[in-house]
Amino acid sequence: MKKYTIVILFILVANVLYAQQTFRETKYFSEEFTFKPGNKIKINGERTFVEIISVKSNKVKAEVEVISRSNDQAQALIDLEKIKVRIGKKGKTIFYSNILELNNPQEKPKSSLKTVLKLYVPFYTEVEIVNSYGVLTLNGAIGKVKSNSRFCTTKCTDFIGELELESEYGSIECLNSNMNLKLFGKRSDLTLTNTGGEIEGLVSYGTIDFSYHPDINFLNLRGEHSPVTIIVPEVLADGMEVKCENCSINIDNCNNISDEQISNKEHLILLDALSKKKLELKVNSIGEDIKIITSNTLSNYK
Amino acid sequence: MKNEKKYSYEEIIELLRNSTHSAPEIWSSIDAELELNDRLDELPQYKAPEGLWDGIESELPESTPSRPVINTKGNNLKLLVIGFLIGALSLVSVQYLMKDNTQEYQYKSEIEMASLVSNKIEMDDKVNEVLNYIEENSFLFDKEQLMEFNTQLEEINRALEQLIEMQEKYGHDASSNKMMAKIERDRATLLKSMIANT
Repeated sequence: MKKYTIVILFILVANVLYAQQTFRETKYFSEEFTFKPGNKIKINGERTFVEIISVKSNKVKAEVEVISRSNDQAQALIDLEKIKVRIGKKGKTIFYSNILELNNPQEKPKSSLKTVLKLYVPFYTEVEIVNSYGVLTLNGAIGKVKSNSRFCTTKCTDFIGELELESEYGSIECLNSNMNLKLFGKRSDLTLTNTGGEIEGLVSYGTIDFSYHPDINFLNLRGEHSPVTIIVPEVLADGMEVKCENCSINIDNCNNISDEQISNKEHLILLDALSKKKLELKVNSIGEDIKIITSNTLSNYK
Repeated sequence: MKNEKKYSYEEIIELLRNSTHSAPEIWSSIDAELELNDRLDELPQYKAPEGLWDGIESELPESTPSRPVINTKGNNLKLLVIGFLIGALSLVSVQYLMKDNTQEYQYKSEIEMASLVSNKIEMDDKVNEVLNYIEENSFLFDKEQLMEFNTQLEEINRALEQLIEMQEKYGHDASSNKMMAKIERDRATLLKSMIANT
């Protein structure tokens, strides 16, 4: 009897394990292109996870992976071939695109599909990206990146360069970067942590989380119907103007306020404004409150 | 009155038989001409003096167009070379285009010991109930508020449709579920803000 129980238990465990496993089928290739000053890269993706890394080289190396995941291995393999990738160089432009190609609408894939593009580019390269339902990661001194994305996450880590970004239903997360950011975000969330440079942006129906960095030369952030959180140190190197229209500012023990004005429609706060003649740092919100937190109270706040 | 004599059939035959005609006397001259033609071939042949043709050609007026000289052998060679060049160029172009369109893939298979995301984000099916409530209480909102609400709701619904379409194409995973959840949150916030104003 014991033997039978062990066998039945073994079969049950095996069944559960089998049911839990997912087949991950991948097709991949890599290609290199010579790259001269004045050349640029154009990417047109859908469900594309793009990572751009700058390296000391005069070549562009592209590593492409198409991934299909399913509980049925045969199905995963069939669906894998439905993604077509094109990459090449024409004139001064390296182009990349991937597309889901269906011969008839009934052929819709049953697997989870995505394409991963890893680009190693020379320093200060110009890149243009159009993408949806994917991710863009920028790493290193890249140069100028122009991105138009929908339902995408944009991550900048140790990024040095210019980023011109139009984002709809996305999120933008920048960490340890020094950049010139121009952002137009609709229903997108912006998080800037330990990031300096020149920041200019409009976020509507999203959220703004901004932590002050002494290397910020210019800041003009405007939130429309987007809650804003600002983390500031005890002392700011530059003065900052924080304004809320049809909303209010939650100061939360912030002790570096040099001026505060409250009217029916507007709440204005100046932080360490006396230390600077001209205010270059401005945060403005319409319709949603602003919360200012000082670094030392951050741990309590969390 | 004209005196016409009538002949019988036999008489007519007899008359016709008697009136025989002889051919004109020209055969002898034809025969003489034929004989002359035959004898032309028997005439002696002489070679023209050297430079006679050049002399004639030099005396011709300069405007006379000269007959084009066709070097068939040389032209064939040119055509062959041009044909070869065109062929080679076409081959290179096709290869270049093919290189753009097709990649040489490598493949790998892995097994992940985790099941695919199965929990689809459940969209709120009570939205219509809330929408009816807002419509019934529309007198509580000003025109601008209602217009803004409708615009926002339309945008959210369109985004939802696009996301569902995307999930149908590429399947649903954790990241697409996260997007779906965000949109559902946006819609909930919008509806709650309207209810709060009633």
